[in-house]
Amino acid sequence: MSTDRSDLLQGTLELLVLKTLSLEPMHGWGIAQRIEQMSSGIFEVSQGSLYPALQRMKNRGLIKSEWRVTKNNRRARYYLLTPAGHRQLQAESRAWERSSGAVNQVLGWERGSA
Amino acid sequence: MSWRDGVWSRLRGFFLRRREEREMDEELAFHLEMQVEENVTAGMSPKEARRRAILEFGGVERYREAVRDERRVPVVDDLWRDFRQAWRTLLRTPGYYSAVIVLTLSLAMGTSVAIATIVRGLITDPIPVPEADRLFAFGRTTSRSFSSNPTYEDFRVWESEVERLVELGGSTYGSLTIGDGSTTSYARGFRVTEGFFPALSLRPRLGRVLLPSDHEPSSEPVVVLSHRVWERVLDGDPEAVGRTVLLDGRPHTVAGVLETGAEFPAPVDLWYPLQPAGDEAAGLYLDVIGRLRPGVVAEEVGAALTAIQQGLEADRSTDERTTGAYIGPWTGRFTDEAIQATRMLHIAVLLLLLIGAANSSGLMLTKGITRSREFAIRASLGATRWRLGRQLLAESVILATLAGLLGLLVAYVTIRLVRLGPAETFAHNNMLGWERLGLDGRSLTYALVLSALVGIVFGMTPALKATGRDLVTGLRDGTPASTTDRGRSRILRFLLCGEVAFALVLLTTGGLLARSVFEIVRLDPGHAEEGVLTVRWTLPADSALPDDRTVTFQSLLLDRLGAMPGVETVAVTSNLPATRFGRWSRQYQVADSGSAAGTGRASWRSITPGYLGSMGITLVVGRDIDGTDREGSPPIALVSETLARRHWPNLIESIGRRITLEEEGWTIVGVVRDVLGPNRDPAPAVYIPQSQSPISTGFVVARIGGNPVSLAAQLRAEIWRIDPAIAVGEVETIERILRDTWANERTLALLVGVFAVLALVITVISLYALIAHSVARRKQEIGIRLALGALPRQILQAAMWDGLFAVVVGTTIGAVLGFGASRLMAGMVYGFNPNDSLVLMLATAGLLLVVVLTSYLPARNAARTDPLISLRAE
Repeated sequence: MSTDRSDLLQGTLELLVLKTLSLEPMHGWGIAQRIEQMSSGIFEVSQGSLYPALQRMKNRGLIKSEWRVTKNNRRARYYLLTPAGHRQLQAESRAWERSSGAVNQVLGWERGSA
Repeated sequence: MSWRDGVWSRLRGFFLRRREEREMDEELAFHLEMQVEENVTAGMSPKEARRRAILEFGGVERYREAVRDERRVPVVDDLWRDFRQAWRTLLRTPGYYSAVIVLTLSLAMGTSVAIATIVRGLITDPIPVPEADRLFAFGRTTSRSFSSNPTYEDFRVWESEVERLVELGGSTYGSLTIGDGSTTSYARGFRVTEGFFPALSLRPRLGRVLLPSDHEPSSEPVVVLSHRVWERVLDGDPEAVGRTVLLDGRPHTVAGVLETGAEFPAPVDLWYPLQPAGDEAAGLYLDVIGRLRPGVVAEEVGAALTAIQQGLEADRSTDERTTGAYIGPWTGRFTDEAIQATRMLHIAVLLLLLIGAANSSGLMLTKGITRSREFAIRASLGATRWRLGRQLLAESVILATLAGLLGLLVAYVTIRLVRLGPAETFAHNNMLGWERLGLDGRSLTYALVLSALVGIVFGMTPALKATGRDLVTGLRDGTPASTTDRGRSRILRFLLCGEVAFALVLLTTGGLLARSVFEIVRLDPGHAEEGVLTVRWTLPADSALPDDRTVTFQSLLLDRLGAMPGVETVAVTSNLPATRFGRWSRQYQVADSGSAAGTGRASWRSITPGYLGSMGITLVVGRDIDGTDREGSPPIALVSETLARRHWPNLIESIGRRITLEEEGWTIVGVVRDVLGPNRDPAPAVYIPQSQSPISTGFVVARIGGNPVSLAAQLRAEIWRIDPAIAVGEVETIERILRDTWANERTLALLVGVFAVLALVITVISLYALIAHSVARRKQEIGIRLALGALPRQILQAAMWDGLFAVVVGTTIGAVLGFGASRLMAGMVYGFNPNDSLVLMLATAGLLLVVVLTSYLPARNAARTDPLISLRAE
């Protein structure tokens, strides 16, 4: 399956969403919170890009949504990872590992030469 | 798999739009609520918490759009939007344009749908044969003719040689009489070979079709009846199979009855085995049909037949050599000419549709002018050319679809009219399926496809034209007082010229045709045109009457029929004028001719005394045939005026002269007025007393005073009372016979007339629309000019200019085209005079008048407007 790699940020956001949902189904707000938490507040997810991304991933069949009741008895749209989403997460994680490793190497090489 | 999910999700989004929107809002609300809650927990006041939450979220609407963008199905969504926008635009603009476009298009499309339905109903569909496309007509092409039938003997060779390729069946047409023991009438029989029914694969309604065993010489004679004859002769007896009918007096057992609609090609009443007797086979030519066996193509059979036939002819001394095989699609009852004519008609309808579409295109363009500012603004706001064009196309497709629906109504009415009008002619010619003619699902499909096509075609030009301009001109052009856009008004004028020209062509040809029909109707046939009944009769070969049976029969017949109440005079003739039976032409010779040539051809008629009176034919000089002219008395004859004048310019001189017909001499005792033949020419004719030239088949001619319908049945019954074995035909009125001979011309004139009127209506509508529009657009300009002192007359002239220009150019082109078209038709229609100046002038003057009036009315309104009001008008 081909993924749009041209937009690194978008790709990154998707990867983070996939990771978050692999832990448990979650609603949009929860996803944003969780990403912030997990990244120790470094990533602040803009809602304006989160929901379109969710819709896009839904269109691509990576996630699906269903309405559930939250712990506080509120109706919310939960997002779930599909099998395709799982595969995508694995593939993207590997790709990320490789590329981030490569970037680190490059940066490390640069630092070393300085 | 995932792209499919994606498409599904998008499609779902498209169709469940409302729900998706609601869910999106709910999700958004939830998100905000959570944020507010968090903010409150962090110590903010509820109000502040909400403000901050919304602030943090960013533009709510932008978020919505972004999500929607992800969800949309671009093509479907855009189309949907285009159509909705187009629909709104159409509702907003005054109903004027839309109404005119829908009206003109629906007229054209309605006619087209009607013609297509009629063609399908009458020509394509009525053949109730399975897999009719595997059925072909076969023949041979020779150096002399395009399609020539094989002889019976050759057919037998064909049949056995190509058996593995095609199942061949031969048939030959023969008139005969059918009797059920009590009465006898005429029937059209088809003598067929063994392969005929298997090739057709017809299923009978009762009993069975002919089997190969029926064709063996020793087998019992059987016959298969048509549904019509079954009802007419056997009263639709459900137990008809096994009954005996008399064909030409010989008993045949009814083997089966076919379904209604199986009477092809052309009216056939019954089928029976072809068993040529003696040397008949050599002179018997067969119509050949064949059903291709699976996997065989027609060309294969053609090549084989050509080779076979050329082989057969190799050792014959014939001067007509086979050059190839004729293979035609089997068209059932219709001749190639009829199909050709229908095709021409179809083309005419499509032309009309084209004019309608061009006209709508013109109207869209006019509308485009008023909307050019809208488009320019939208284009400068970033709408692409494609997007704008698409919307115009959507508008035209919507209009065309509406027109298509309305057109169905037009088609419905047209078909009803056709069924009412020429129905009698159809029924008379055994045209099948006319009573079932009607719109069906396929007509609907045709109308819708046509609508879409027409919509795209007529929307294309305006779409290209309206969008292909630079913005600055467009914006400037929108100011109301500007002069017209030159390019566009050129196109409009061009269209108008075309319409006027087309209308003139149709009007002149229609007028000329109507005139020719009128002339035919007005032609004096030389005999009574009403109040005369005729019926055909044939004496059986073995009649119960005594030896001099024809004389006995006639005196009985004339006595009994003459005594019937309502019958004034009655006579017998060998053949009728104005029918094909009248073409018994013979070579004659006159003695003591006043002119050089003493020979010629004349149609020959054997009549009884009283024929002239019954038919209303006037005696010019001399005496009529009377009772004193009997067998043995000096042979006498009457001749027609044309014949007499040819040889004796002074008519009285012809009396007492001798005329020789086939070696027999007759003394001319009288000259009668000319009677028009089937070709409406006063063919020379010779009348001979029946007592001196007996006939065993002919027509009764009765001049009646009463109701022809009630008399008809009595007349037949009276003849059968003399001898039930006498074959008696249908009783016809002379009006009907005359009318039938003009049926083609009348139908043609009617059709062209309808088209002419339609074209005129469309032209008038579009002309009016154009002028009214151009006047409305220039209202302000006109106001200024009036205020500056222009005379109303000048305004009128200026406003009418567009229309007049179109009229002048259009009529010129139309006159030239009409000239050509009427020359073409002159060869095809009797009495068609392409130089009929009265009709030409009337058509042109009528069109001019209508067109000038059409452009005058809106122009006059313009000239009359109060300058103050028009100045304020936007």
